[in-house]
Amino acid sequence: MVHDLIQLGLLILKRRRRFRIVGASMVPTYAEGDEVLVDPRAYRRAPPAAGDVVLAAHPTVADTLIVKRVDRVEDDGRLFLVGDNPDRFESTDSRQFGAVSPGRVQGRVLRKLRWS
Amino acid sequence: MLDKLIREFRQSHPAPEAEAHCDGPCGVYDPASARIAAEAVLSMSKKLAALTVPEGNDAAAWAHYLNHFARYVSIKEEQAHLAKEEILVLWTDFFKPVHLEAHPNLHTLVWETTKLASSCKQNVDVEAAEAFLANIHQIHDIFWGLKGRKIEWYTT
Repeated sequence: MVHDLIQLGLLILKRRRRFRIVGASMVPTYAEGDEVLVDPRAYRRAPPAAGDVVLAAHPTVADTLIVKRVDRVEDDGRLFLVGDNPDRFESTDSRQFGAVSPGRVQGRVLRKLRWS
Repeated sequence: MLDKLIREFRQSHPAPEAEAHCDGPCGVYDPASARIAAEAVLSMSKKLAALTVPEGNDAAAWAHYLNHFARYVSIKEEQAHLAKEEILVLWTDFFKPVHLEAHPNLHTLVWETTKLASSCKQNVDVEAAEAFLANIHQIHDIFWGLKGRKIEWYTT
């Protein structure tokens, strides 16, 4: 509860952003319609690591943000992003568009908002 | 009370969207359509093989025979073509390079299956029709295996 209030405070202070998930590529972690909390400043000091769920600009589609998990960090620092859904046809990710520059990452997805 | 506030807040301040989906025009694919068409091909091939030529010159008997013969051939031709198209659509639209890595024989399998469809058209060949259906069974197994689902193969 205290933690929730802290997150709410950070949301009001714009230190957190909320996004609504569209699509099923992150099932079972996040489902269609879930709202998630994103920390836009998470990677100011350290780059994303394998296992993180990130919000990133789509590498080929303009003005589109995607949510995927960092499957691995390539030797050149680029991120191989993969959806959590075990059905690979539910996700368009690095398996189709290749590894993504860390510059495209706009924040770390922390968790699902409980109200969603 | 709090729920109502949250609901109102969410309606008045909708969260921006973050995509977690598949970009493709997600078609609905299922090798079942090829299977049904191939079953019709096998059925027509068997019926054609079992047809007996009428004895003598009875016009009605010949009309009956020729009509059935023509219908069976026509359905066999049409359904073999349909099955071939369905397999080619799976091949060009559904299967991706990563699937080929998992199933290196996929190109050959599709090639041979569509060739069998042609054999079924060119002749009345029950063996070819059976082989055609067996190949579609293999495609079915690969397809559902890739989707991580266990879908039983069956014939009608």
